[in-house]
Amino acid sequence: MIGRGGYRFLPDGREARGVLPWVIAIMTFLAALAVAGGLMLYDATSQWRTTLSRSWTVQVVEADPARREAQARAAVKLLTEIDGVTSVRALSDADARALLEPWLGAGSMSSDLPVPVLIDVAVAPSASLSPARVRLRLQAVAPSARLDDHDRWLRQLGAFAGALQLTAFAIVVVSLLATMGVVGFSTRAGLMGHRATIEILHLMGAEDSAIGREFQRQYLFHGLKGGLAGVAAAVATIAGLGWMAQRLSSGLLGGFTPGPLVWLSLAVLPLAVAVLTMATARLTVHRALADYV
Amino acid sequence: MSNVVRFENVGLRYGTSAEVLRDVSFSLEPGTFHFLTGASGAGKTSLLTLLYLARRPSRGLISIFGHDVVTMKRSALPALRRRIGVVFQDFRLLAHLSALDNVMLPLRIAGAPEAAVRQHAEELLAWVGLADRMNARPATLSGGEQQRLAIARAVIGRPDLLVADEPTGNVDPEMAARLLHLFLELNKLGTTLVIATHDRSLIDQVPGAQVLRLERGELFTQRQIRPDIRPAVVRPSPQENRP
Ligand SMILES: Nc1ncnc2c1ncn2[C@@H]1O[C@H](COP(=O)(O)OP(=O)(O)OP(=O)(O)O)[C@@H](O)[C@H]1O
Ligand SMILES: [Mg+2]
Repeated sequence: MIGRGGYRFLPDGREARGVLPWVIAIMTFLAALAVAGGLMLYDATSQWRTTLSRSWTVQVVEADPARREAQARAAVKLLTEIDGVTSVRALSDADARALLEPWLGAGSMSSDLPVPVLIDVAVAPSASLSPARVRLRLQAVAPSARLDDHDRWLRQLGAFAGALQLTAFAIVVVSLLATMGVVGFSTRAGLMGHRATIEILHLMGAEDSAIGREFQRQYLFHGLKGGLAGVAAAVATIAGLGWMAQRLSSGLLGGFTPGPLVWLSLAVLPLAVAVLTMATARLTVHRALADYV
Repeated sequence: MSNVVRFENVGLRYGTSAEVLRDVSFSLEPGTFHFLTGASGAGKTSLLTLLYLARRPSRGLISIFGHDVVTMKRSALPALRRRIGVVFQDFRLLAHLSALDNVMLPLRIAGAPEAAVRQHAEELLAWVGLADRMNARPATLSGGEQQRLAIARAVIGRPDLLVADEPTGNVDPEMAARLLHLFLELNKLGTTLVIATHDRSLIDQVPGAQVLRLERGELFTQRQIRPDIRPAVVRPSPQENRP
């Protein structure tokens, strides 16, 4: 609240000193985690999406082993010839059985239990292959072949990720709204506390904006302080979680390391919180002063 | 239009109580000197609050510097208020500011350059005998010192209208004369003055002044201004109380 020449129209507000920056810090912490979580989730899902949309699986489900083998070979031949398909690999019967073993149990699998042939198909990222047309062509040579382009699963994953992101966004909005509420409350308390002084300033010809500036400066400072503290705590949390995710070194969690956009957002957040705090204080002051004589 | 202040049938009530001011009508010409008297509770302070735009009347018409202040927008008030200096009955000094900063306040609010403001404020504080109390907080000043500080703050901006509520209630007669001199100097520069007081001797020192008297909310004009009579004031000797 230091104006020209270190001069203050209003004394420091005691009401906002202790608690307010802490409440802002907590709200910022939640918002920061939500922002980081949302962004990292977006990174992770788009990573899974590109990986999965580039790999199809063809299953040849046929009880008769001879026909199964023939159809599988025909399918492999056809798929290899398709432009944009970079690799086709049929899992051997042993590999397929090995895959199923955990579910069915080692002992229960007799050799005459029909196991579908699984064919891994890798598609070039640039290729614009239509799964439907490939499916049609496949039908002609291998009627028992089923092409799975993971589309359904991807769509469900996308919906789930979207819902999670919406939740993250809601948390950000709610915590910022709560910050505004607390700041508004604190500003009104400050106005009450300084009511007599403000009246004198008004009578000497002070504009509402001059009084508003006193509050704006103070609340900008409170917002910055709380915002920085909240983001610092969030950065420590994210760094800790990131380290744990890295230790797992799992492919799925690979996307859960914070990228530059996350750090950038976290750097901007304290400023955004400070500006929001200041703007709320300003709005509150101007609204309240409109009721003064 | 050329009146500094014009009241027409002004009434004021607080809440739902009876009117504190009833049908008050008067006008003040530029550069004139007025005393406002009346028993305690007659409504002097209430009338002054209307003059310094702290309140709007319950009815009637008030025009200040030619502006109708009853219907005026809030945003237009600061410009008018900067032309009005006020000595409050209860001083209303800002507790967190030093004496010097309190005096500088009106000019700072008006956005005047810092250096000029400071020098002017220091001279004025010396004149009211507070040269060695410039950095004191109001709470540490005596009643009379606070009053002098309040007066210095009211006059520093050379207002077009000065409204003072019992400005000499807490000082000895010698200081009262000195303060009155300050008011008269301001009056010579063209300021219109309205001073509420019970102090008969103060009124007698300004023979040219008009006396307005409030009786239970009604205003009476006691003595008309006589422009041919210049106020005869006992001026304090120049060397006394000078820093
Ligand atoms: N804010 C207020 N709310 C309600 N009533 C008020 C208020 N201010 C003054 N009054 C009442 O209005 C009447 C006039 O008060 P006012 O302060 O104008 O008198 P005054 O002439 O200045 O008295 P004094 O010489 O004692 O200062 C009094 O009866 C007082 O009780
Ligand atoms: Mg009074």
